[in-house]
Amino acid sequence: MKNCSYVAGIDVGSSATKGILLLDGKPVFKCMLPTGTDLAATARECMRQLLHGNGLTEKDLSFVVSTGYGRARVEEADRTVTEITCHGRGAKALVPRAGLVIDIGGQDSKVIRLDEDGMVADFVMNDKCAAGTGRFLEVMAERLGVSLLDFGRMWKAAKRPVDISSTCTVFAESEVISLLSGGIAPEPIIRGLCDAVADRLLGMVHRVGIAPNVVMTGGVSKNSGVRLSLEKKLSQRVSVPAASQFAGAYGAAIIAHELAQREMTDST
Amino acid sequence: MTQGRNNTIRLHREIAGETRRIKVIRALSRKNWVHSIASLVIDYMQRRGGKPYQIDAIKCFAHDFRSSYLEEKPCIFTSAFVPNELIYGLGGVPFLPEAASGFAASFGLAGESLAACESLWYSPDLCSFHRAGVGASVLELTPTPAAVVVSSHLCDGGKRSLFQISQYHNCPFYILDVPYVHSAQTLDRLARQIEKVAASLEREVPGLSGDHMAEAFANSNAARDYYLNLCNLRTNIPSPWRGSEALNYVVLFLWSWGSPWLTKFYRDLVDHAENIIDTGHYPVENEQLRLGWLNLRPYYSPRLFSYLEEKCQVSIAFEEFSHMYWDRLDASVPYMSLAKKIMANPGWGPLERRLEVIGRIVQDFSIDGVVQFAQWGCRQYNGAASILSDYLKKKGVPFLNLDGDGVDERNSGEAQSLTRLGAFVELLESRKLRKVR
Amino acid sequence: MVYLSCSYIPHEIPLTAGMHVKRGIFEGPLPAMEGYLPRDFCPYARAFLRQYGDDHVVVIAESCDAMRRVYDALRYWSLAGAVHFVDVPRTHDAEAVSFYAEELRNFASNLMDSNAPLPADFCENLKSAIGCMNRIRIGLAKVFDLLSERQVSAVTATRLAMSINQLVADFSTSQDCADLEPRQPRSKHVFAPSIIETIVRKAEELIDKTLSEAHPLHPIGNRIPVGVTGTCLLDLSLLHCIESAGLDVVFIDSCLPSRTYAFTVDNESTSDPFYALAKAYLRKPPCPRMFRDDERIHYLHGLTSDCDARGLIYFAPKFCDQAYYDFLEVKHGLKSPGRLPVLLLEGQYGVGRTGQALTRIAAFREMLESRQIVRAGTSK
Repeated sequence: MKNCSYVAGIDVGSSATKGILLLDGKPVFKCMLPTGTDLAATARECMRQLLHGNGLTEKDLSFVVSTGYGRARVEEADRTVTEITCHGRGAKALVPRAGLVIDIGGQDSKVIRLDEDGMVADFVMNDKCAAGTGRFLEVMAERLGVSLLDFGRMWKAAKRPVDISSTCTVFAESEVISLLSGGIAPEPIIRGLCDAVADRLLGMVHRVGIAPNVVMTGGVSKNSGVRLSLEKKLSQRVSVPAASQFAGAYGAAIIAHELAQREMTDST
Repeated sequence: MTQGRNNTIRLHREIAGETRRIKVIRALSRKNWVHSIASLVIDYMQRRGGKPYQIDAIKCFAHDFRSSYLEEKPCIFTSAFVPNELIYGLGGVPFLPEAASGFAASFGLAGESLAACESLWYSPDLCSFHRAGVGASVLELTPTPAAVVVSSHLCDGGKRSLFQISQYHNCPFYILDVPYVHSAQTLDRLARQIEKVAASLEREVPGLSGDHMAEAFANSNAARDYYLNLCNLRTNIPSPWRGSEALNYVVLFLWSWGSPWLTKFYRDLVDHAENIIDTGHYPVENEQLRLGWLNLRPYYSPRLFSYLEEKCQVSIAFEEFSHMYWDRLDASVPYMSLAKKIMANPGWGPLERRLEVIGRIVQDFSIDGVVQFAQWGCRQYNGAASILSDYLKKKGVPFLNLDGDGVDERNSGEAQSLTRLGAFVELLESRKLRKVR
Repeated sequence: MVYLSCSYIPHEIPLTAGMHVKRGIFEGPLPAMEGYLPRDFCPYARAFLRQYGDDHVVVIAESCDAMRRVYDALRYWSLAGAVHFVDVPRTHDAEAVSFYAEELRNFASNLMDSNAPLPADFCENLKSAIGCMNRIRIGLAKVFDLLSERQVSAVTATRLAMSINQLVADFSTSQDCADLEPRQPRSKHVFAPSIIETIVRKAEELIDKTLSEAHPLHPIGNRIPVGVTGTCLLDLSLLHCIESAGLDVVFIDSCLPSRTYAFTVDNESTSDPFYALAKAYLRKPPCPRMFRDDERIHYLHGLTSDCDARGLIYFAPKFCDQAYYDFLEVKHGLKSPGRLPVLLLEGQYGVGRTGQALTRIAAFREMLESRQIVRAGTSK
């Protein structure tokens, strides 16, 4: 019988796997590692790091919730919850006033509108194509020979964006090549690319209905270029909490905590 | 009613999201002085040597836009293949959102309209001519429709998108359910429907009456005579008119039958083409090859055509959309006459009808190769690509299905299109060389 | 065998012409047909385009752009013994009904392969075929009614409808008909009431078996009821996926299977069975291709409130323009009064086996659950 109050949330994303450990509902440890090809093994390793770092064993955990694209592959999980619900809950915990969550991950992006209680009121996910995802930006960064982390600095250095019309990765890549060969500096191209991704997200934002207090989560939230483009287009500040990449795992852990509490109440 | 209408459209406008630029354009489009300035600009252009037919085209739209934006006459939205003689004949002004999308794209305005649509859950896999039309209408960049009339023939998106527009604007919607098969009975059924729609429009929309029908029919027939003359001149080798320009003026071909301006436009265009042939100053210098063009073109960029016409010296000799397919209209049986016009559309009914027209264009205009601009999301035309390819191959005419998008730049890779067009031109050149040897 | 492409084409007519008939249901586009239609085309249309036998008759309705192109391709590439076109109106007023009655009469004549007038007894036979099909429709409707009571799963009900479709098609080879004289599909044109009666009895047996096995599937209150709508469901995978995600499907409004059975043909009030068919088919629960004002929205409203659905899952086959536009009407039309949550899912054959569909449906369930908790909280 598990009776201690440690719980964990594991978010197996397409590029990174994130884990968070809560004690009595408060985060005490987190870790992140590249997902790789063996999802189950990565999840196991993530779990090991969470436990090992705190001198715990599996028996000390009262509940584990997994989320993300590889959520079903986490053998240790007591429950799986989708990344939509988890990102909503995680973002709400990180930014209590959050009304709208924009999560841009490696292979998909989603916009989640939250109600007053922090529950998902509506959501939308991108279609199959890579436009508007981390993968799109990765391909472009590779082509431009710059790091994704430099996007913010370069965005600011550009006076105005170059118009990138395609959001199709293949078409946009050839547009970038022809812009570069036409002697255009990388800065305005980067700003143009961030604008193209923001435009794509904007359509999704309008679909679920715009709300105040926008929060960005997921891997791409660390790329401040996209945040700057979004802020300009939405005409409002977009918060990126320090642990934005962990929002999904944090949400999963919070749900795990709630379920553990419920189990305890039920058993007493 | 008006209050309810305003609320519906405002609600959707808010969901769609609008930029400051859109607000300014919307406000300006409804100002009398803007339309007065537009007339001054046209006069100025006239003095600066614009070609008469180009001035006619601008005047045609300036006139109609003034009437519709300032609500001087009832504005009736129609889908692309509704015979607009009906609307002019009732004393209204037609507006074609699908065709207006091409306009918007050439002025760089399509982006906002497409974004508005996506915000309202329109799939990006739908044809962008329809999406941009709906978006522009939601953002009220178009005039306000007094009613919407669509016909069910050809593409499904046209009628569906206009139905949506009628919902946003809360205005009456009429559909002409066009039979697929030609027969005396089916023509009768269609004629009766047109008559009913005309009667409903007269009843429901203040300011409409059938008094102008004979005039609209006379305008249409006169324009048709000049138009046939123009088609005949375009069989000339080299081509007396740029196909890229013809594809721009397709909008008039779809829009303005029944308007007096169209007659003037084609008369001046015939003069222009005759003059070109007389003087020998052909628009594509040293014409090497002649293409037939199916479906429309990208309206936001001239690059494909400057590449073809200037760099490769290739003419677009004729376009499928420019094909005259109906007989003279008879004002004594107006509804039957319009029914026949609708049913004569070669894009409707079994594909053999379209193939036959394309075959005739190839022959009459001495076409070396055929390009179909495969508009993203166009099921009507793209679905026939494999058959077209086979059919033309049997006739010994190379065919290129060129993927692209006429309005939504995001769907098109211009570099890829240029490469494919270039390779196609090389293929045609080498065939021609072989023939000469 | 006569293959039908649309729920607006009555099975009754080929049956009366003495032919085997089935609605074309396939597992997906054939690799061999790749290239005949563009890839950005409706998957049902691409699956429907295939090489049929020389003695097969394919009937295409004026459903949409994609099916019109299938009609062209079937003929151009000679992919079937015969290809017929049925011009289904998009409206349903009296004129449209008369027109469609005439169109159905022409269809019957074309099937009979002759320019001569229809045989004298055709109308009488057609009436009895209508009566038989009515019995099947009524039986199936009973099964689908049990969805809302959650006594039959959506997968079971849909599979039954598909089996009956196959049963009608295979009647001459089914066990019970083995002793009956096998008929040539296109040469004899003999109406065989005894065979049709056998099919109906067999179908009724299957229906009765399903009805007798019906039982509450889950403890009430455990799972959230949702409706499913769209143009065409393509296959069972989506229903499987929804049910395995923990939702109960309480109604299905789709071309396959429900729009094929959710009505009966009034055989009594007119002497002309073609007119009776035209009227019933044009006025059955509306398909998104029809223009019937907001009838479809009212119909869906009725279904959701009757079945107490808490959410609606809209399935749009990828590149189906009719579905894309219909979804807008459903989303905006259903949203205003009751704010019923609607989830849009797009996909190809096998959509229910994709992770994307599963994630979206599971997230939708989680969203509905949290609403349910809030609702329960406020009602206390």
